[in-house]
Amino acid sequence: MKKWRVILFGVAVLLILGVVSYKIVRSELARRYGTPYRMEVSGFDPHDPFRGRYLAFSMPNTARSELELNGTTAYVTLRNASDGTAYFDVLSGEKPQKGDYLKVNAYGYGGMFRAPFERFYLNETIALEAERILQSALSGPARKRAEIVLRVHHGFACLEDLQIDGTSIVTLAREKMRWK
Amino acid sequence: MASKRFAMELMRELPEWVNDGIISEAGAEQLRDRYPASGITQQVMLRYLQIFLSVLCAVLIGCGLILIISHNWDMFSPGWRMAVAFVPLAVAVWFGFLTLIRHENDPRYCGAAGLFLAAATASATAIVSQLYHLSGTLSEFLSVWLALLILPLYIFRSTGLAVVLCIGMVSLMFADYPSGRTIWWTLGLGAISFPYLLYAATSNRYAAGATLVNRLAIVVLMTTFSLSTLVSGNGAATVYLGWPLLFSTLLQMGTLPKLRASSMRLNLFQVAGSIGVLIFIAVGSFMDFWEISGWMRHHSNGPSLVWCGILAIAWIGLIFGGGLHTTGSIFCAILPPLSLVGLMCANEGNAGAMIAAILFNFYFACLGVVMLWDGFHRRSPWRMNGGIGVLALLIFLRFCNVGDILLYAGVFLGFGIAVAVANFMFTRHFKRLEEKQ
Repeated sequence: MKKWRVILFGVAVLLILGVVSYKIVRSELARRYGTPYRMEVSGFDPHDPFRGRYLAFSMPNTARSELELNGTTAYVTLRNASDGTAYFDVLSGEKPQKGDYLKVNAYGYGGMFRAPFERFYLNETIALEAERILQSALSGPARKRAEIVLRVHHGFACLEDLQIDGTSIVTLAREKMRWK
Repeated sequence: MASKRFAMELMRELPEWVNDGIISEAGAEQLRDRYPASGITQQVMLRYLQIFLSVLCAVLIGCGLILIISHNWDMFSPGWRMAVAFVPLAVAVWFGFLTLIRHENDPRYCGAAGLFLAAATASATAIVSQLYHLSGTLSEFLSVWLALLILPLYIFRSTGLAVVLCIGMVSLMFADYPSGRTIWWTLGLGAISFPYLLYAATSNRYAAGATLVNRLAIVVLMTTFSLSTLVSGNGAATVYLGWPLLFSTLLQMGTLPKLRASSMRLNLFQVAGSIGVLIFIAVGSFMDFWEISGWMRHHSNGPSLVWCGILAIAWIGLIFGGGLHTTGSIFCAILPPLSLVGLMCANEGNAGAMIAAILFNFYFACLGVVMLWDGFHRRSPWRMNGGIGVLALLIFLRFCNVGDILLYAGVFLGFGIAVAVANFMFTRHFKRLEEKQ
């Protein structure tokens, strides 16, 4: 047995564990200490056989910007409107000194960026029902408000829930399935 | 103990040796008894069957477990869900560690350990992302995952993992198209994994099948990189990366066993590859080459030099008969300082471009000298001519910069005649030596 291979293996394992754990730690920090924001979303085609079951949605992806940030990493600030809904305020190339912000990939011109969230994962047993609920909430005769709940901590956001008129879509889907 | 490849090659050669009277039939029989190739072939077949059955077993059990876990996913608490992500990873780490301790030279264990660790890393990353609803693109996922596989590739020396890496890098190029945001990252990954692939493709340590797989992996990787840079619309990337990658790919294809068996003249891949590489050396000798793109001059001399260096090692490995045993190692030693200086040049604008050009010329001048020396040492006119050709081309192109067409012609003719005379003399010298022996 060569010692250097075992040492390198140790380094490789630490790297792997580090990368996976980093995601968990950041998400947990955001969940525990992050500021909550609610943001309105709209839905679109959620079918993707290769990535399992999830609800696909689109969220706002523009903000005020006077800079050309095509294809670069940028920072977008978050603010709350008077009705309690959050919106993206200013997109800039530098980290804001105050307030909550998110790190995003800017593209095009005029403050456009890649939305930080676009899917909400669900168990496959309730996914179909949840999809129906989301679709009817967004396009049915009785339109309802669909919102995602985010927690933001030092530029990192964690998606906490997807809610229809203030109730978690998971709860709604489970209740509906119980009645069937 | 002779390698399997040696035994199989010996069995192929034996009838010819007997016909030519080099050894007797009895001697051939003794050799057959000593190196039983048929037994080895059977052993190899059994090993492949064993691998196939192991993979099939793993896939079936894995699928079964995935279905059970997925069906009961809602019943698991977050802690258990996290355990589902980490338990396979922990098992893969433990298996990898045991492999290193007990079976570090067994390709079956090393291959399996490398692949298992890769799969466990991918699944842990994916499950954690899903648990926390983390969004991300395929290229982001691949960028991180592939980077994590580089060290296991060198630790386990697994052909399977090399193939996974190559497929991953090719997929990353496609996933990233047409933005090309991760092109330098992918090229960096390629640069780090390339020495292993080259080693595995040329070393006698591996079975013929693994060598072929590694060679094909290099060809696929290089072709993708070339095409990606060519279609990316980035002029500098095309010139610096696309061109050499494309022609080194042709060179690589020319070394595939079947093509290699044909004569040099008929091996169009090698001829085309050599011409392309020579043109690259020729164009690279001009100072103006470094000014083709202002962007490149200011930002990317370093990476391009690193690539040139790595590719040059590949070419040298191929020129010297597919091995990196003697002269190739000299260039391996040259690469780190060259890369370092190249990277230092990257942020120095015009001065950096000048240093980079000097290094480029210096590097290929060394190549010419070493080829010449090695050709003479091994009595190989082909290598010697190659060395003279590289040196002649470099010196000729230096004169081209002066700007006098008659001078070009004079230098060109002078070197042409010198090469011809030297060639003639060396060939005669070698013939005499052979006659004496």
